[in-house]
Amino acid sequence: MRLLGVELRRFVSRRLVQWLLVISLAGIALGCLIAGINSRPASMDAFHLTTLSTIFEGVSLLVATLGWVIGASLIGAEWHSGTVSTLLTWEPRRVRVLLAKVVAAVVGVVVVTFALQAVLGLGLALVAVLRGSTQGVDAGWLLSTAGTAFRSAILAGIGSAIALAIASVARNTAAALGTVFVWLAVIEGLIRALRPGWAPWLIGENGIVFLTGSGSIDRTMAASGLLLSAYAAGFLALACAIFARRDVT
Amino acid sequence: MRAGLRWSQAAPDQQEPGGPACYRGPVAVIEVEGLRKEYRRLRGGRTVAVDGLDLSVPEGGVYGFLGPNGAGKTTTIRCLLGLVHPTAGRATLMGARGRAGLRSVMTRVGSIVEAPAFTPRMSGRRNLELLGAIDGIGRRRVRDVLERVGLGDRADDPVRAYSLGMKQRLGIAAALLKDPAVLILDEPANGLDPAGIKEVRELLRRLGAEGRTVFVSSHILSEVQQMAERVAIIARGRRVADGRVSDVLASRTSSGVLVRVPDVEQAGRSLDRAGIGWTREGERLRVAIDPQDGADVTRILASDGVYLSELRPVEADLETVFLELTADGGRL
Repeated sequence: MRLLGVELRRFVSRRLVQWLLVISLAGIALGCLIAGINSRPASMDAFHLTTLSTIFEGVSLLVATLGWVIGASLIGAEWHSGTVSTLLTWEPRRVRVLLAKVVAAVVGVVVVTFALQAVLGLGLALVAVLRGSTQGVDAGWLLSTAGTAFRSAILAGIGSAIALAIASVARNTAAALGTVFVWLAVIEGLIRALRPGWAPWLIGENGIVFLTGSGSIDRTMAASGLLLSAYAAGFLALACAIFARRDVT
Repeated sequence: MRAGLRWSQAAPDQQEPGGPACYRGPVAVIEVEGLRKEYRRLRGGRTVAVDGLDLSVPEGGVYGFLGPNGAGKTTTIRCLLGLVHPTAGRATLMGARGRAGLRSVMTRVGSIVEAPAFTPRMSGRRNLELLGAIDGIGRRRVRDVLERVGLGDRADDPVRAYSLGMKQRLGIAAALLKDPAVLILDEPANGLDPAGIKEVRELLRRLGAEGRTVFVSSHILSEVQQMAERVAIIARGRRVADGRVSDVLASRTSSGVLVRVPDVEQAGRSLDRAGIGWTREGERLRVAIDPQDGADVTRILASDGVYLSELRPVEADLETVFLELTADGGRL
């Protein structure tokens, strides 16, 4: 638990996390401002708070990217600066070290991304109250919208775990981000085109189903979530095995 | 504080029935047996960094670990700390082998491996606080060690703003943070100015005198000679000498005397006629004769009208011995 506490403190202390938080908050403020300016009260152009769930789905790619970047950099930066070696002279049980980092990354990313979406939701709720419409907002809507935001945060958390695992193997942040980008943008695109039957096993398709509950594949939200979690677990198992055997020089 | 310290924590498989093992008699805190480490080269083939190294470091005092660049010092230290896997042989630290065993003793081992690495954007204090938190070490202890290494005033600056010497001091502070029984320091004086080197020397000597075991690799041989009681010299991954500094020096001291004369050429001719070997060392002659027979040199030179102004036995220092032992990579 101590090690996890240290990793969570390290997560919070990371300049990258702090900067991404500031940039995200600035982006949210700007988005709310634009929504406020464009909204015409009591007209067709009025901002409707009920569209918030769609907005959360729309920003989910940004949220997931945030998770990947944070997850990959959490260990990539440590390999780059050589602090992995220093850390292992304090805690030589490597699997514990890596798992503590993964848990810290996932918990940190889920909390941060959910909180950012909550701030976005509150900002847009203010816009809706002042210059738009809150028609159709009820407890059911709130639960459903919060669920979308939470699944988006979970998706970012899973992404951070996968990115961290790849960065641990590659000992490099950029390599992990590049791998994730190439996989999602190129490899999965090729698979969709050349082997459409494999689509139910792709990260992209399952991510959409997990987030929205529907998509181009016949799978439930829970099943997609489990499949993505299994992928993350597979990457982590591989990363742990390599980290345990690797010479840290 | 640590005088007479005896460690009793050992790997579970080495504990005696009925309680934790206590090592009796001469305690070897670090034991290396037949250690071999090979690295694969990118383009095929293998590089042997350590080649069947044996080492036994007793408890307490300062132990110097010497060798030229690439001799295998850092690799040996990495093996001891569990950072690299030996290809063969074993490296035991306080009786612990393997990572699970290491964890049980690591709380009492402070170390620096090569250039100490810290998170560059965090302050020195924050870096130490995060490391210390792993072992439940509090902020007061962090403040104390930062003061002890002379970083109190700069503790809140980001590490990236530190000079090489300051990073080295921070590394020493991190090593001291655990109040360790064993310190393993790889070139701790790297990047330090002369005053810093002296401070580190005195600090290590003091730590050794407290009963801690200080295992220090260094290429500053004069420093090691001043602070270490025992040394090991390695070359090409093999041990070429070890033991008490005085014994190592005695074992390799070249016999002979140094003679200062007004006319080196004439003195040389006199020695040639007497059949005594010599070499010129600046304005002096190094005469190949047992120092106890120094009177013969006086007599021979005086008989030819050469009067010497100085005659003293050749005293080898650690540097001389080191260079002799590690010449041609230690092929003796």
